[in-house]
Amino acid sequence: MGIKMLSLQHLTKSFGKMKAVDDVTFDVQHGKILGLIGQNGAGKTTTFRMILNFIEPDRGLITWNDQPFTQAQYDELGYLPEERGLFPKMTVENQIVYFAELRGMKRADIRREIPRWLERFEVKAKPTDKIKDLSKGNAQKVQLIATLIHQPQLVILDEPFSGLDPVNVSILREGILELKKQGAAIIYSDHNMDNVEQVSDQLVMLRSGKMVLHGTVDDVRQSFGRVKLYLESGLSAEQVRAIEGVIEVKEQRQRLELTLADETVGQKIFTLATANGYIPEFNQQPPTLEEIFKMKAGAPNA
Amino acid sequence: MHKFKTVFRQVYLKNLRSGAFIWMVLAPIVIAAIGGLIGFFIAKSQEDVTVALVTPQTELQPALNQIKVADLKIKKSIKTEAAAKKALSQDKIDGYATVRTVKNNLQVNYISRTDSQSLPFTELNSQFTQLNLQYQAQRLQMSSAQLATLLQPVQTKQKSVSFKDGKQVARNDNQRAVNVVMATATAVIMMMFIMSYAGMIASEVASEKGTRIMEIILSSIDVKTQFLGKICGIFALILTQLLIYAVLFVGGRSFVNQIIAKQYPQIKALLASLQLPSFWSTQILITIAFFIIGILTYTVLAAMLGSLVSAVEQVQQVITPISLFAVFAYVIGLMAANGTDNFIVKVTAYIPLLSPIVMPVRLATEAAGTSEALISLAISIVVMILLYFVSLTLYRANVLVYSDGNVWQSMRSSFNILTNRKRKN
Repeated sequence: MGIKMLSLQHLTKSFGKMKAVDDVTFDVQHGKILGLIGQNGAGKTTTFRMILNFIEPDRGLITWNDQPFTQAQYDELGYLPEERGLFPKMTVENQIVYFAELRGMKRADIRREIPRWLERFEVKAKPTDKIKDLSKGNAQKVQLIATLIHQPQLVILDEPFSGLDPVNVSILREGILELKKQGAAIIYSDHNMDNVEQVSDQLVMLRSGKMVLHGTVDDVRQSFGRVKLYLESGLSAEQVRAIEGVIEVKEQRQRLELTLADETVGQKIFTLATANGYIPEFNQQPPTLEEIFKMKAGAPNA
Repeated sequence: MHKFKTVFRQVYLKNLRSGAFIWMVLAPIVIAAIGGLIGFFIAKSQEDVTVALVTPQTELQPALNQIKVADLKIKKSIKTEAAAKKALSQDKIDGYATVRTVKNNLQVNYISRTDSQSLPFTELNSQFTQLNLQYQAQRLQMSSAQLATLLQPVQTKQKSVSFKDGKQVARNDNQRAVNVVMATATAVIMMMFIMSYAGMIASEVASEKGTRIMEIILSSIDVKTQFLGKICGIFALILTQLLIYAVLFVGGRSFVNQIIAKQYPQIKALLASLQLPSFWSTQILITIAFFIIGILTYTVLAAMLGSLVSAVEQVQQVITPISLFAVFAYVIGLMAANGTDNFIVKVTAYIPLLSPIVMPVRLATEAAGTSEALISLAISIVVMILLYFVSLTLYRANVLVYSDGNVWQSMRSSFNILTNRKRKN
């Protein structure tokens, strides 16, 4: 059988002179979640569209379970586009039935499943309600149900969390983790690094079509070293700033947020801070994804 | 196949329940009913024209009494000009004629109200001319035989003919009028349906594209199946519409035969004298074929054009050119309906997109025969199939490409996508 998964190899696509996706390579195993991050226009949606066969790559190969991904496998796919779309005049039930039927599900099966899914995602609507009468959040959840009800093996979600309130974000997060448990390979894109950090097994960051980061969330963070230090001690900002290897000091109420040139600077600071014994906080960490994201997104092309 | 059925059913049911479709089906019936009612009331409200014929010369009175004109009521009780004037002012009569002799010739003065129905001058004139002849004959003391010869009208015979497959076919004038009406109705109905269906599919495609539903659908099924499903859905709608009309036609005909014909025997006589094409006549069948092929061809084009725009609001932009085409065909159709048989009419009856309106009209006016219609139909079918594949290719290229630019830009960019794809393969 081999390891079944989605595999992208050296994917490249240009629109005119602009390289939208440049030599992108990554795999998504079954039962794993990959977060695709990057600024607007970094090439996330173009990557998705190539996986979906909407556009053909100039170079590179996409395989699903060691086979080229073609229309024959569409039934195994669940896709949530970036811009959501439902037929406003259709009822919730008919809308879900229509999309799920297009994925090869039988009508009777879909009808039977709908109440369970509406309940699970806490959609406040009856199956007979019209889409246009739903709130934005509920409509979005209906769309998500339509994406997932046929138990897809490959799930592509383009910014699934955008526009949801925190309660719905956590409901959706549960839903995604549930799918993962069932063995689906999931790719999603997001701007919110908190979600990425909590949900993803792996992440890929794109900038101007190029992969700038790739790996598990921990690996990516660790690769930057523990250069962030949160410190609450007797030391003042001026004293800390004077220490060699301290790049930046931010004052946050009682504590200081330091950026270090490298990990070892932390030891020096620890010795100084604990000279008088107990201190409330000494927390040395790798940068958060948010910080890495800003760092990478802002860095000049090298 | 399962997915094809899903798309097909979706397109069919969604539009079947839509107000636009229901109105489209009902519109011709409503328009016909309103037209019929208006005609009925006009006919009813049109009373006979009432006139008085007066003369100051009593010796002319007996001659005036002989005058008779169909649908004209002559008030014999009014004998003087003064009385006639009074009756006219009270709107009791629509007009009057004063007759007197001037230099041995009859002279007639008509007076009529501007707000009343006009007097049948032609008929009255001919009556007075005859009266004058009689008067002159009397004056010249001609024998009654001489008078009879003098009054003998010119012998004329009228016959209009039409040619069907090269053979001359006799038709009476009423039949010609029926043909013109039927041909005009064909042109009007064809254009109306073509525009409605074209608009329907174009906005369907554009709204799916605009709401990004297209992305979900096209990540579920391939473009070919979706396109075919849509066209077949529209085809089923056309058949449904025709079926509704067939049922109404059959039902309505027996209604007319049993109820109206009994009460108004003259209508029955009129209907019997006219050759309305029977339901299964070649003419009706060919017209239906053109109807279906015509609408499908425009539908295929409209689906392709709908895929060019980025939002449903822009549909009008792309639909306008084909609407103009349909209007052009309609204008030629009306020309043909009124008996024009020039080069343009003859040629356009064979040009696809125009022929579905022009040829049925020519068929109805009997300017073209069955064989010509079949040739034109065959051309239309071949072109429709070609257009289907061209449209499908363009649709595939367009339907997921969004652009803020105008339609020409998106057409050009989709053309680029196409040529790129070809070069790769």
